[in-house]
Amino acid sequence: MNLTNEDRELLDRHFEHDLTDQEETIFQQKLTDDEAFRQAFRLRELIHERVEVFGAAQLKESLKSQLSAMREETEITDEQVEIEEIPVRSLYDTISAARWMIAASIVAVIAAGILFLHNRSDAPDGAAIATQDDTKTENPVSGGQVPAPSYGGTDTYTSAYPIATDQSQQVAEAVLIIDESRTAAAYRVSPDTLFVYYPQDIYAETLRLTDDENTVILQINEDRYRLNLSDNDTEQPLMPLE
Amino acid sequence: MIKDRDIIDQIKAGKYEVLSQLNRHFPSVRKYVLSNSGAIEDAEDVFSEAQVIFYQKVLSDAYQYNGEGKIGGFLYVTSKNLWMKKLTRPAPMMAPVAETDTLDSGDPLEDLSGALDEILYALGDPCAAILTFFYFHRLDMLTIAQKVGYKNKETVKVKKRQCIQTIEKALPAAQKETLKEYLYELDQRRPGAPGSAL
Repeated sequence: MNLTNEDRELLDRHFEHDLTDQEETIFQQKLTDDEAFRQAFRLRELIHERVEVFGAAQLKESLKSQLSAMREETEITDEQVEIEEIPVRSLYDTISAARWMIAASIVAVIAAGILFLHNRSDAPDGAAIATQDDTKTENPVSGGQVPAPSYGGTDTYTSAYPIATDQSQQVAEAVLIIDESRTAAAYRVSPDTLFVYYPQDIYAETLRLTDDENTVILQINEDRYRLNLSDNDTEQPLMPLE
Repeated sequence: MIKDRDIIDQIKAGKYEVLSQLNRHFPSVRKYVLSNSGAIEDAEDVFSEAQVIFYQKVLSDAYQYNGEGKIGGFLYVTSKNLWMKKLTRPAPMMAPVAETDTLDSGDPLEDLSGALDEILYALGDPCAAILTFFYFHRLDMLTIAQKVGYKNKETVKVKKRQCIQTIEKALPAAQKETLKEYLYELDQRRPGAPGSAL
């Protein structure tokens, strides 16, 4: 592969995308006619390919070491502040618990109904009417029910977290729903469950609620949001705290 | 938090350091790998590989921006596929390999690539840096000059050409002969290629 300096120049400038149209024609002609030139060109192609592989491996190592450093840093921080790890429960458990509660409620209502019918057959007419009126005002399903969130689709997945106060006492269940079809983060409060909808992938290490003089603040990792708990079961935008 | 659009723009502007901003998507991959028989190091390995794939796709215009929040999904799915591939790949036979065997796999292209890789690893800076900046990161000569501390782009151009020649010269004579044979065979097999017999 003995090349003239002109040939080398031609090859170099070809790979630097620096040839004029006329030079490009000469280059293509040489590639067809000159075997040594063609071999030198193929070797260059191979070198470029290996440089790309080399560069990719280097970049990967560099990115990987950043992740390792982040992990080590987090491990040190965790040791220093001794944060108790909050176990993550699956949504299945939450729904399952809810189903049990619904089932228990239905059994309770049926039992109450049987008792009521039994009492009515024993009681005088006036008393029976009064009991019937009282029953009408009662909610047939007892409290504590956790409604299942609407979720589904390929870009949606869900995790449930016990949500804690600053004193690490579990006060509610927070269900984090990653839904990439959404454009903004939102939340919904049900009697004992806080549903948080996120438009992009996050991994919540910690979820905390703090009550700061009538303002309830939700903290997800480092980000803090103001919550309005008075409007139950209505989806509201998640407003970040300044 | 930097937007997806800005990450893509910065990569295209040669600021590949912006890739570290994607680390915020790592926890979901870590969670997936850990719950699928992997260790934290495995998660870091597949995620960093997914980052490189994303980077190369952006550079070659093969990544289409489809709105905010999609890069995380791309990295998650790519990492997941990489991990699945690693899990299903059969374990390699643990037969001891003699060092002299490393450049004699029986496949001429593999041998050549192996020889070039060894040369590249031994090359050191500034050659390795210049060639990587130019061919892998696709930076322009002026940006490379600034990164390696050269006065101007002409100096980089000259140095780059010298580096290529160093590699060519460092290729063992036997490999050059193999290369010659390999290239000849390749030419014969390529229909319509320059010098093709077909």
